[in-house]
Amino acid sequence: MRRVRLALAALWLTGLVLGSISERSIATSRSVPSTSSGKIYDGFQVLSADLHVHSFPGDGALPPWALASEARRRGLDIIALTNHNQMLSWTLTNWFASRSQGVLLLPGEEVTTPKFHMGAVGVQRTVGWDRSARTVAAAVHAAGGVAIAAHPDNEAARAIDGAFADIDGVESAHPVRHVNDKSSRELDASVARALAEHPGIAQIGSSDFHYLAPIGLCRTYIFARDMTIRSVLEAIHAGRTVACDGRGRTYGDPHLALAVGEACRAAATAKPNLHGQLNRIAVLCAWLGAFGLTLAGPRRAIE
Amino acid sequence: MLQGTALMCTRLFPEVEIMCAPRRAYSRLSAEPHAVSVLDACYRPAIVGVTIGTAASISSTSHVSIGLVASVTACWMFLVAIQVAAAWVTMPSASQRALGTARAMDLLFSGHAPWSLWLLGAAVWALALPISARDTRWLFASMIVPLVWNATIVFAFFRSALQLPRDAAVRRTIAHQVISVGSGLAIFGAAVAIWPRIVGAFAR
Repeated sequence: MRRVRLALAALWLTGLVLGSISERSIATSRSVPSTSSGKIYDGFQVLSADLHVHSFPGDGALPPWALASEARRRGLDIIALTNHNQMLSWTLTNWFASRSQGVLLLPGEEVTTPKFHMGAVGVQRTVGWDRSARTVAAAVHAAGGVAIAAHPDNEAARAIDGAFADIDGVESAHPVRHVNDKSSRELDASVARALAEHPGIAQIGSSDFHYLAPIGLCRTYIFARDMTIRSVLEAIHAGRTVACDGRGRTYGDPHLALAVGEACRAAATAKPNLHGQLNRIAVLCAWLGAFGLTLAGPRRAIE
Repeated sequence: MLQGTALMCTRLFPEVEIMCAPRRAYSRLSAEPHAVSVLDACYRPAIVGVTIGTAASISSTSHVSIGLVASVTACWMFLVAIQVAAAWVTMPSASQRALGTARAMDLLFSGHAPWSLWLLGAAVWALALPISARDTRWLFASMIVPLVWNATIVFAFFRSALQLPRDAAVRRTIAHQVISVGSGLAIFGAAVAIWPRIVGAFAR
């Protein structure tokens, strides 16, 4: 039985080694959704971002450094760490590096209130949640960040109504679009409401990454002067963004959307799941190894 | 023939035997002569940690690598520490039981398989279904299976392996589940900012 367990452990480890090789080959062959970094449009650098990412410690599965690696694999230049009402993961990030593996990490939180959620990207401290949308937005600005209405459904839009003019962005592309038509219609209605009140509002695409769907599923193309936190926040505040959903549709200024339409479609059509034969084998080996080790524990008395 | 093979499998692997017939398995396993060191007792908790790391990596990224699985395992190892703490608190003191602490821990962690299998199943669920079909309500609802199954196993551990009276076994099982599952829920609740959501739900 010891041999069986050794074989299972070897299978699991083989999966991890093959996965690491696959990761390296992907990084060099760029078979992931093409990142827009390096592309210049109208004097601005076009950056691919996911501004709504949950991480460990919080309700996201991955720690910040693993998220940075995953973001790179998924062709993202920027991610914002936005846990609910806390910024512990940013503290953790500061222990390592804010710029990890070429990916710019932004501090943030998802201000979770009883009636609406608001992304606070670039803030240096947490913002109180027991407030109106206008007060939360003002507090986010005072903390040095930009305020983004997160996945606004009908109820959230009603709560934010009248305050969209104070908010910098609205999540036009979010995985709820892929869940059902009702959620998608609600999101459309909320975005229309936001645009009516604040025509220049930045349209944001975010994956709201937790643990069961890939990071960068929906993303934002940001037209920034350079790849620094300050420039990125300035671009969002100025509304120079295009949201991109998981079906390759863009939302935002038509001229800017035209510039990133192809990149958005490429990101949507690139399969997030199990791309590459090697990765498929790696996952299978690791899964089977873990499955076997779970069931084939040692029987102490026999051995 | 088939029945004979199945029986042999359950006898060979304590995890399988415990899942199939917890009380009978614990009676048999605890009666066998053994010597379990502290290092031996760390094996099963380590496998639980590795399983969490592997399953979470697959479900959230659809891939695995040494760095990714090591990071995720290290981060989520605190869940295993909670399990160990729950066992430590709820087991009778060494003078009141026949089994040594290391052996008792090893036997208790032999019953963790329902949760580990659920995690691995969730990883397959995330891999196999398209985004549009991933209704997490069903996934979370399915947690009731390992929850009940594991509680049954923990009860069998206290009743058959530690040979406690029925009432004491029930009390300790409840305490174990409150500490282990309750801590998990409390941490998850804090992570998702449950309080504003509760306030919001009551305000509707």
